[in-house]
Order: sequence, then C-alpha cells, then structure tokens
Amino acid sequence: MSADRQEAALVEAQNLSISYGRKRAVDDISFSIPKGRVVGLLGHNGAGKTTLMRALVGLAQPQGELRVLGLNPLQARVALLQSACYIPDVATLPRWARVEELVTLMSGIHPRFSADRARTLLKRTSVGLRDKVKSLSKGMVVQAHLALIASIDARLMILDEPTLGLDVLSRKAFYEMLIDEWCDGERSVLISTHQVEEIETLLSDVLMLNEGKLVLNISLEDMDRRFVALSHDASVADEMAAAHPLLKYRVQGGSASLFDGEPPAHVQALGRRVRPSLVDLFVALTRKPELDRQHF
Amino acid sequence: MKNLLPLMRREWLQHRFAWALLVLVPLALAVLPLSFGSIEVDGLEQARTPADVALMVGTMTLVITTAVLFLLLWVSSMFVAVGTPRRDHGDRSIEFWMSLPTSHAESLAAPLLVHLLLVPAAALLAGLAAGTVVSLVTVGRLAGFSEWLTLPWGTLGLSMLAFVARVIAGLPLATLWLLPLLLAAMLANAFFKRWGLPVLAVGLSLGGLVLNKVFGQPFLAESLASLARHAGLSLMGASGQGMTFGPENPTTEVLADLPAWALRDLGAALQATLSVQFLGTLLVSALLFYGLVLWRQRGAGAHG
Amino acid sequence: MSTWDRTWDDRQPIYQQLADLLAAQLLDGDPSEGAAMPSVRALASQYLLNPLTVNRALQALSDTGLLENRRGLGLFVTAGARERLRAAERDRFLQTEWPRLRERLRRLGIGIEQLNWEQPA
Repeated sequence: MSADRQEAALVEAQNLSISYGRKRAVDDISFSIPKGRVVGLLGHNGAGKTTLMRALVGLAQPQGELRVLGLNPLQARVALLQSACYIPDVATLPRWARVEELVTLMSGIHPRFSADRARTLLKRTSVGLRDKVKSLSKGMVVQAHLALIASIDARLMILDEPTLGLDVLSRKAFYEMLIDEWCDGERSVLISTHQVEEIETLLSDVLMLNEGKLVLNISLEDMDRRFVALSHDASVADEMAAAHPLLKYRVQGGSASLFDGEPPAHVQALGRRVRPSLVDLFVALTRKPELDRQHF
Repeated sequence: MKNLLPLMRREWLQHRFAWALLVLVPLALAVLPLSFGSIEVDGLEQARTPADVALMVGTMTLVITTAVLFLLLWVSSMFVAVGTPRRDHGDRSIEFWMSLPTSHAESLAAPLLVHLLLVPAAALLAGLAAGTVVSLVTVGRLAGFSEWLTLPWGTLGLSMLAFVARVIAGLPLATLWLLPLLLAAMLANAFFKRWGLPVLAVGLSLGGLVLNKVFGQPFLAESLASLARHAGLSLMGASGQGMTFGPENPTTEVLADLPAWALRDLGAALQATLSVQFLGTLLVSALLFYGLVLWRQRGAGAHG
Repeated sequence: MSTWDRTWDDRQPIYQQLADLLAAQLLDGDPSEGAAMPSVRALASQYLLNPLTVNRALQALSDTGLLENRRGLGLFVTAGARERLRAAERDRFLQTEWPRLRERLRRLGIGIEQLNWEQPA
C-alpha cells in the first residue's frame, strides 16, 4: 500500500492470528488500510475472510495487534460500531419488520444514522418503505440493507460477501450505489468476495488470503507494475516454463504465463506483454489444497 | 445504557399486534357468551337490593377480568422473555442486531424490562378497561343498565386503581424474586436451544431430588418453592390480611378500605426483601446475567 | 475480461483504456469545449470503476492538455481540445494505419481511380 500516510490508517493489523479451538483461521497476518480505498479481501471459502472481518468489528477474539479507527475492537466495540458499519455474510434484516420500522429503530440506536438519507437511498431501489422484509426478494433485502448501512456517516464499511446469491442486475445496482453514495475519498470499504472477476475494476487494493495466510497485500496500481503477464504461442511454452512462472493458463488465441517480477529479457521477447488480471493472480496464489496434493 | 429505549421500542414494534390480540380476543370471548347466555353468580343471595347485586357483580367482574388478562399476558411474556437469546437466530437477523452499536447488556436487558415489567403492568390497566366493558354487560343483564350507571364509580374506581397499583408496585419485586429462575432458563435456551427448558426442568428436578434423598439437603426444592411464594406475595397478600366480602363486610366498606390495605400490603412485600435470601437472589441473578453477556460476546452461538 | 456490459481488454491498464474512451467521446464533442467533465464519482458509477482509476484516466487526459483544472470548479475541456485530438488521430492514422492500408490496396491492385472518395448522397 502507498507509503505516504500522514494520518493513521483506518485499520492497522500486526501479527494478527485468530483461532477457533485448535484451528487457526487467520495466521499471523499484518496489513493496514488507509482512507479512501476500496479493498478487496479475496480468498476461497474457509480462507479466513469472515473470521477476519468479524474480528474487525469485535465479534471474534484475536491474538496480536489490531486497531480499527484507533480503537481495540473487542474492548471498544460499541464506540467502534458508531463509526464503522458492517454487513455480515449471512446478513438478513429481521423478517418481521417493515423497512420504515428499521429506519426508525436505527435512528434511535445509531448516533450517526440519517433517516432522511436512508429514505433517499431507498427511493433509488425498488424497495418500498412500507414493505415487510419477509416479502422482499433476497436481492432487495441486500439493497435495503446497503441503503440503511450507507446512511450511517461511518468511516469504514465492512462488507462480507454482500452480493452472494444475487442476480446480475442486483449486483450491478449494489456496486453502483456503493460507488455513488460511499466512495468520497475519505471513507474506505473492505469487501470480501470470491467473484473476483467482476469486482476487480472497483478495487484500489487487494488482500488475498489462502488458508489463513496473507499471500498478497498490494494496491492494484502496484500490481500492474510488479506482475508481468506474457501472452505467447504454444510453441514457446517450454522456454516460458523454464523461467518459472507463477501460473500458466490459456487465453483466447493461445497461452499465457504470469510472472512475479520481470522475467529475463529474452523470455519477454518471446511473448506479448498483457495486463495481469486479478483472477489469474487469485488462481495462481490461492491454489486449493487438493490441487497441491496432486503434484506430489 | 442510552440505547435501552430504542431497543425497548423494538419489542413494541415486533409484538404490538400479538399484545392487542391477547387482550381483545379474550375480551370478545368473554363478552359474547355473557351478552347472550345465562349468567349464574354464587353468593348473590346475600345481596338485598339490585344496587347490592350491581356492586358485587361489578366488583367481581372488574377484578376477575383484570386478573385474567394480567395472568395471561404475564405468563406468556415470561415465555417470550426466556426465548429472547435465540429469537433472532431463526431468520439469521442476530448478525444484523450485533452489527449495531449496542452493548450486550443493553440488548439483553431491554426485552426483560419490556416483557417482565411493562407488559404485565400495561395488561393490568388494559384489564381494568376491559373489565369495565365486562361489568357493563354483566351488571346490565343481571341488574339493569341504570344500576351499572349508578354504581359508586368514585369508590369503585379508586379501589380498583389501588388494587392495580398494588400489583404494579409489586411487579418489580416479584420479578426480582423470579429472576434467577428466568435467567437460568434463558441461559439454558441460549446453550440448548429448544431443549433448554426441558433440560433445565430435568436438571433442577434431578438436582433437587439428589440433594434431598442422597444428601438430605432439601435446599434446592425448598428454595425454588420459596422464590415462587415470595413472588406471588410480592404481588398480593404479603401482609397476610386478605379482603373478605361477606354479610358482615358491606362491599362498599371493603372497597373504601382498599387503598389503605394496598399500602400496608406493599409495605409488607418490601419488608420481605430485607433478607439475606433476597440478597442471595440478586447475586445469583447478577452472575447469570453476566453469563448471558459473555455468551453473547462470544458470538451468541451465531457462528460455528 | 468482461463484466456487466463493458469489456476491458488485457492490452493496456484500465485507466489508459478509459482515457482513450473518454478521448474518443471528446472527439465527438461530448462534452464540448469549455464544458465541464462529469465528476469522478459520476464516471466511476457509470463505468463501475474505482474512483482512483477514474482519477488516473482524467490525469492522463490533463497531462496531454485535453482537460484543464479550474480551482474549485473541477475539470473542464480545454479550448482547442477537439482539434488537437483530431490532429493526433490524424497523425496516428497517417503514420501507422495508412501505410498498412496503402500496402493492402497495392496488393489488391486497387488504384486511386477506383476509390470512391465522394460519399453517396
């Protein structure tokens, strides 16, 4: 991440580990999230994404150092939740409530919640104020939830797989609302997903988890510079392989190889340089354990 | 504790429809047969005039309706209160509630305040209102509508209010006496879900039996019985002096005495709390409540 | 890679592709010279891109003088931007595309008389 930070980062983690019983869900990771960023937390199921996010909002017990908005999430959970908002992965709004009742409830409970803003945002969606949550489709529930959360004047938004199970139109509407109503350069979003492809263009930074370990912690800008993808003919595949790429894969019209750092000039001459995609990096760096075992 | 009121408001929003039904349906069920069926009342032989009939029947219907609605809502609310740890797990909204800036203590205390104190108190007042309707129908049919109108509403009203006020004042005390049991049930519900209450019942019975037969310590069973007794007395009758209606006690005089009696009774109930036993109850409750807070802090069993 | 209804290719960084896209629109007069560019937020929301990416694209256009920053008001299309873009496009065509096209015409044996310069009415 960019090194010039005059003010403290919104999230600072140092040697953070979180265990459930004997299992280490998050294993000794360190990272920081500055303001004005959209950070993607990528990883397969069980990689530790949800555990990490719950620790950020004081719902899990971590070892190591963790400060969110300068606070310790476990000890200052209530104060933290006033300036950070969270949509959990199996998020559901209470089914018995009407949307306007939720607006009323949150107005009373949340000091930074704006009922007017909530009503304005809800108008953008197909959700009516008088609708009961149980009558809404899953996509509409998520949109309503996001509208409510985005009406909190918070500095950090933590979204755990918010678009899981939604259709394309709902996902698109979700991201549009996110960019339009939230990203103002002062606030940051941490969004976890395994739909890497569609979220790549929205991110400014990426944190990649594999089995609890942080395998990549980089801004997208730096990613373009650090990783080199070369698209090439099948005929030069062997020379490519000899240079130890991270990943070999197929693209339209041929093959490609992904390298961490610049491969030797003669190798580069064999192919055409293309933009390294986050999806390919994801595959390269987070191979599922079953796949690794096949190599032995 | 500033989120207490909004959280309590949630109870209103979620349950107001059910509460309305619990008051209106029994009222309708009472009024309909009373309007058209035959009414028999014991003890009316002592009544000498229609006015006496009206007063006796009027008082009885008021008291009975209030008592019935109170008990109905109080008992059902206790079940709701005991079920609060797990209630948002069905629709998975527990994660939503935990993402709000409310402390675990507030989130646990708000429903208790509403269901254990506010709802029964409101039920008493609703009972009085409903009782007025029932008395209208009953007195109207047995003694005539004009008799109902000419009831001594001043005395009657005042004494009924005193009666209700006595119970309302006794509610916090009764709740505190019962709290260890209720909180234990909540903890059982938290850990064992729908098997919580059966587990608790079995546990307490077995525990009491074992302590009694094996160790000769009837401590557990006696304690529980004592708690229940104290709770009941906190609501009514702590002074040991009842109110009797009979030929020697004209109803009007009994009614007029009611406020004074209520005050004495309340005093006796308060006195009963100045005991080691009550202090012990408070300590156990505090421990159990802390246990619930810890349970919620560890994730309320929402995540594996 | 295609998401939603837009395809970003893998040849260039995305901010560069956006800059080219916006430049093409400028060439068509959208927005016209002297007019304000849409805000970063509006563009980010329209193309579903991170605002930082949009910023980089706009910065690239500013660096080539097509956009100017008016303090407190935002980015505006500089006067003469269209003409400059056309000139740049013209140069690019004449230097790279035209020689290729000319070679192709020669190979096919198409002479200048066969080229229909006047567009049909």
